Amino acid sequence: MVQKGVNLSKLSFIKIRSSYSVKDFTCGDPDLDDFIRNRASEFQKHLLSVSYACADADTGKMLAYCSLANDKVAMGDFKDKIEFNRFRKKQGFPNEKRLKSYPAVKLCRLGVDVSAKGCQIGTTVLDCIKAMFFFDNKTGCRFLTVDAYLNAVPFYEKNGFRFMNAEDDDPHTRLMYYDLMNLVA
Amino acid sequence: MARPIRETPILFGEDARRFLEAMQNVKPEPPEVRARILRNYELMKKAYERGMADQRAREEANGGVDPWFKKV
Repeated sequence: MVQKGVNLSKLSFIKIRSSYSVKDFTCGDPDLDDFIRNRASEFQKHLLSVSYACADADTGKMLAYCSLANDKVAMGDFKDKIEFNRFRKKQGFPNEKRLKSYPAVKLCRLGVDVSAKGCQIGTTVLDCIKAMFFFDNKTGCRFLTVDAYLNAVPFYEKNGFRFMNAEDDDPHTRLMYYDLMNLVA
Repeated sequence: MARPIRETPILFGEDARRFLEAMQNVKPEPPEVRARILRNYELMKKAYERGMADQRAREEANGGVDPWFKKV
């Protein structure tokens, strides 16, 4: 399977140990590049996330990077956050006001090197993550969550993600989720 | 300095209602999308086996360090 210069059948997918960090990787977003090259290993060291790299198996060129962490989606029996915060000040959570929550995995970062843009490698990695937690799920996980950069929102929408909040005015990102039940045949 | 990732918020009110409604009305992926996801998963499983085996070989050949990565 050859698409635009990247041979998807000649990929190496590697779980990155905390003693390593990715080098020679540029996804075009300085903020994300900085995290991937300089800060990801700290998160790994403290067991806060796990990182994976996708490289060309022949040359070692890094083509994509992603990191994952456990997450949950919780719902409160409250009208809004103000009512919830008022309630939290009281001691103890009575049963009738307890939160409902569902297990999830957060896609903390996903970046594709500029040399591999348009080669479907981001979709390939995302498909792999969906399948990992659906077909080969070890613990129970209903949703994938992501804090998507605004320019990546169309990519996630195309891949079945929905918006978490009806109104989200953050200037940089949108909170989105994917329901893994969509994969039930 | 990289921008912090926003935590998944606790959903309230209309957001919670919309979310629960979506959970109860799952939109199954079309068969061709499901097949693509499975195909890509199989491809990446092979890429993972290859990637980890090749990394062990590179480390053995380079005094315990994989030259594809920066040691930190």
